[in-house]
Amino acid sequence: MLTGLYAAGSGLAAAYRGEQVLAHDTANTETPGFEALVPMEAPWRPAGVVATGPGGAVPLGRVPWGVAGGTALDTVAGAPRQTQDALAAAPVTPNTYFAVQTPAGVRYTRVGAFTRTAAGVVVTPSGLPVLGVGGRPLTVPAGTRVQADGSLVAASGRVVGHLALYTVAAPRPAGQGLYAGAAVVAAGGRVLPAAVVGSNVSLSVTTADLIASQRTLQADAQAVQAENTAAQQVETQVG
Amino acid sequence: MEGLAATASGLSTAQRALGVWANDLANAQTAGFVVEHPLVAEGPVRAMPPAGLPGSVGSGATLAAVGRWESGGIVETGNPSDVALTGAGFFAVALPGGGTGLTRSGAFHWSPGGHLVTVGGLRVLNSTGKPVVLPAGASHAEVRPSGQVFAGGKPTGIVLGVASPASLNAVRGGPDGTLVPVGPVHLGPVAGLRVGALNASGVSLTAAVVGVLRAERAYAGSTKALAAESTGLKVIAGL
Repeated sequence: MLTGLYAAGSGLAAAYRGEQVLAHDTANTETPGFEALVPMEAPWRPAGVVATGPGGAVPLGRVPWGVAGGTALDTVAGAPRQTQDALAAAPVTPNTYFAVQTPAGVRYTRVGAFTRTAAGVVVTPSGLPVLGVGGRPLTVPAGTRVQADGSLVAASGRVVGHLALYTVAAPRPAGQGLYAGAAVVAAGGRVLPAAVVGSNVSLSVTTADLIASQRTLQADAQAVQAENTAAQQVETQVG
Repeated sequence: MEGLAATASGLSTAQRALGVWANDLANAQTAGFVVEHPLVAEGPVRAMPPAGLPGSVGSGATLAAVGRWESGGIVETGNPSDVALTGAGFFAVALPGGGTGLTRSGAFHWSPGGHLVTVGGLRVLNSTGKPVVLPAGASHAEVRPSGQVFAGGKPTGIVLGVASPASLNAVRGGPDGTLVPVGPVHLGPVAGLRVGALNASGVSLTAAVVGVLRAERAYAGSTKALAAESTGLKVIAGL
């Protein structure tokens, strides 16, 4: 009963959700270290639609098919861009992330646009402390530069710390360019000094996806209307 | 409507980034200009409702911070009252409303009242934070490469003040192209000056033009996403 309407409706919802995801990606075309969310769709088969009334739960029927929407993460790093910040670094080895301390725990990021506070602590643009090897925040003197192996060298030539580099197996987006997930120390991780990883959003691909998503949405809307018309006919002609 | 909000944040972030780069371009010839560059970050992300596939919904982009690069060469002007900082740091000036402003523009001259002032008439401060004034009876004084002020060939004991970048935390824009530090400023004697020269603008035309183009591209992308979102919502509302 009305299963086609549910199926078309689920497709409409998934297509609209896809547009929202692509809007987020488009807004981050120029965001350093951004990893694009990719709209995903899969067949959806819920256990059944149930109505709860005074007499208990009444099964109304099964929805035979439909579409569920979700997202995957495109973890290929964007191209690095040069900057004049001496403490900036872009990971160049695959799947390599920096670790930062957030109120919610350790998170991982590719955005190496680091600066130093007046107290000498190495922080992200939003002020989160960057972790060194050993898991502690780094305190460095003015004029410190990053080397290709992630070590921090003061103007005097002395090594004053090492940026911790991790490989994150299945990163989950935590917002603000931060990712959560199980991480292991990236052995042989390398960075490009005085550079920042760009966004991995391809505007042409995202725009094409947006158009495709729009067409799907329109087709699903047509399907909803057709199912609705059919249901009305059943109601008037049969009922 | 989350997609619309994400798109709006993308448009506003691109516009603000464009403004920062455009200001840099406009100041490509301004002596001592400290280049600003936008640091765009991803907005917060939340997990999708558990009904469908695992996924995330993003809220677009934000301008996390404005970074500053003070590098820029030294240009000879031949004007004996011009001074350029040979190292890092800023000259300190007294702001009209009280407080201390910072500048790398050493285009100073002696005011009729006997104060050393900037092009905009702001009083230059010495290493103890007091305005630099001509000693009683002197009609003229000169600044030496050591930063000391000499009158009639004799040292006056006055040394120009400098704020080292290491002592600064955040800064914001102030009057007459100055930067206003947030929190107290610690002044010290100037380490070295080039007399008859100015610090050039730190703007790299290439970097600024590329920044403008990138911001424009991000803006154009978000206008496309806006159109798609708006059509999608219209289709859904028309059912």
